[in-house]
Amino acid sequence: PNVKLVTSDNEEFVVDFRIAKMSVTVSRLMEAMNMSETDDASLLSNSIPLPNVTKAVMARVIEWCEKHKNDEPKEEKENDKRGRTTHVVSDWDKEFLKNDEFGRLCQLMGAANYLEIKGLFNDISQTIANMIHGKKSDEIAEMFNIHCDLTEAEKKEIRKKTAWCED
Amino acid sequence: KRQRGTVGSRRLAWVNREKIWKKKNVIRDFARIVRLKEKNEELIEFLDMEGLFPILDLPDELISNIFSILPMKDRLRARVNRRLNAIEARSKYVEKSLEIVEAATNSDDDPVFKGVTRIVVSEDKTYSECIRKIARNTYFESLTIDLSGPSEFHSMIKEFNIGYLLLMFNDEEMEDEIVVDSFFVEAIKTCKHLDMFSMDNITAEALHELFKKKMSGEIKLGKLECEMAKLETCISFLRLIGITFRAGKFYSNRDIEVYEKWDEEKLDGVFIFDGAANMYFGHCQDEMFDDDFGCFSVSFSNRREWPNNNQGEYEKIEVYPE
Repeated sequence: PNVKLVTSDNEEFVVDFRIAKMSVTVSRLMEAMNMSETDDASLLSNSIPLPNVTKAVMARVIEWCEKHKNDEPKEEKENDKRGRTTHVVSDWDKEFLKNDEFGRLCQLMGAANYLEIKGLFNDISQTIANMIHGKKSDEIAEMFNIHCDLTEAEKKEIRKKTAWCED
Repeated sequence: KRQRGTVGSRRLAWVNREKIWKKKNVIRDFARIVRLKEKNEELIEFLDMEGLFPILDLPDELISNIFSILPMKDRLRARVNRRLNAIEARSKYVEKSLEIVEAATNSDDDPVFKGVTRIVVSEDKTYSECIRKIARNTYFESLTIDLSGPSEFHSMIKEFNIGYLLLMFNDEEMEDEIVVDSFFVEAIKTCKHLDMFSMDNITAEALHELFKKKMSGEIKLGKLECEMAKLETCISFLRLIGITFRAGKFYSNRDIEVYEKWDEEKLDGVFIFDGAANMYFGHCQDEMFDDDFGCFSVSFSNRREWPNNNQGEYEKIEVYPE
C-alpha cells in the first residue's frame, strides 16, 4: 500500500507504507487520521501534509529511507559499554551525505529531526561531529564561518577552566 | 607618492579582490537566506551555499545534540562564540566512560579500559568547577577513578552519577585513609556497581547500612565487589543480618541458602542467597594474603546469581537454626 506525503511546496510524494512508517511523525499523523495499512480507502483519500519539509529535502529523505527500510533495529553491543557512544555512519550513508553541501546537510538534519527519523538524524549529527573532531578552536570557527564574539577576558576564562583537559 | 605595483602584483590584487567579492556575495546571500527562510523556505533550495556551514542556523537543540556526541575535548574546543559556549554548558554529556587520574604530574599511561577518555587532574584546583558540571550533567556508564591523594578529588565523588565505578589507589596507606565509612556511604549512593580493592576501614555497620538503604529503595546500587575484605568484618556483617557463622557452620532463623565451593581439600568460597541478595565470600586472588582476608561481593537480586555463572561448582550445605 502507498501513502501520499505533501511537502511545503505542494509536491506530492507517493511512498510505500513501510517507508512512511519510518518517520515517527508521519506514523503519528497517520494514526490520528485513522489511516491503516489494511484500509486502502483510508490511504487513498488522505494525504499527509508536511509543512516543514521541502520537495528537494523530501526527495533526499526518501532516498535514505528506501536504502534503510530493511534495517534491523539496532541493538547496543555489550562490549560497547565501556567505550564512548559513537554512532557509526555506514559507508553507504557516508557516500550519501557526502553529496550534500553544508547548507543542505543542515536542512536534512532539520527534516530528520522534524520527521523523527532517528537513523538519519544520528547519521547527520555524527557526520557533523566527525567534521569537528580533532580540530582546533580557530579551525572550527573558520570551517563554520563563525564570528567570535567572545571578549579576550571570556576567552581567557574558558581556557583557564578547561586547561586540565587540553593536551 | 604612491608606488605603482608591477603587473604581476596588480594581477594578484585583482584576483584577491575577486575572491573578496565572491566571499562577500556568499555572505550577502547567506544573510538573504536567513531572512528569506522565515518568509519562504523553498527559496533556499535555489541558492548555492557552498563552503558555508550554517551551523548557527540550526536550532539550539540540534546543536546541543551534536555537542552531546562529540568527545569531551572536541566539544570544549568547539565553544567558539557566545551562543555555542552557552549551548555547550547546557548540553548533556553522553561520554559513556571516563577515567580520572589524580596525579601531581601528567602521566602517559594508557587507560585501564581501551578507548576510554582519560583525564588527569592535579593539585591545581581549576578543574573542579568543570568536572563538577560534567559530573552533574552526565550519567557515566563506567567511571574509573585512580586516586593518589594530592587534590582531594575523592570528595567530589558524590557529584557523579555512575553505572560502574572502579576505585583505584596509588598508595595503600592513602586508600585506608580515604576509604572509611563516610566515604563508603557517599560512594554507594553514586553508582549501580561499585568495584574496589580493599575495605579495611569499612565497618560491618556500614555494610549493614548499605543493606538497609537498598531494602528501603534509597539507593540504586545493585552490586558491590571488593577484592580484599577482612573476614572478621564479613562475619560481623552477617551477624547483623541474622546469619551466624561459627566453627565452620552456618546458623540462621531466616530462610537462606548456603553453598560451598571446594578446591580439592580447601574451602574456596561460600555463596549465600537470602532471597534479596547474593553474597559471595571467596578466596583472595592474591596468594600473598592469608586467610584473614577474602574477596567479598554482594549482588542484589531476588533470583539466585551464581558467582561466575558456575552453578556446578557449588554444593548446598545445611543451615542450622539459631
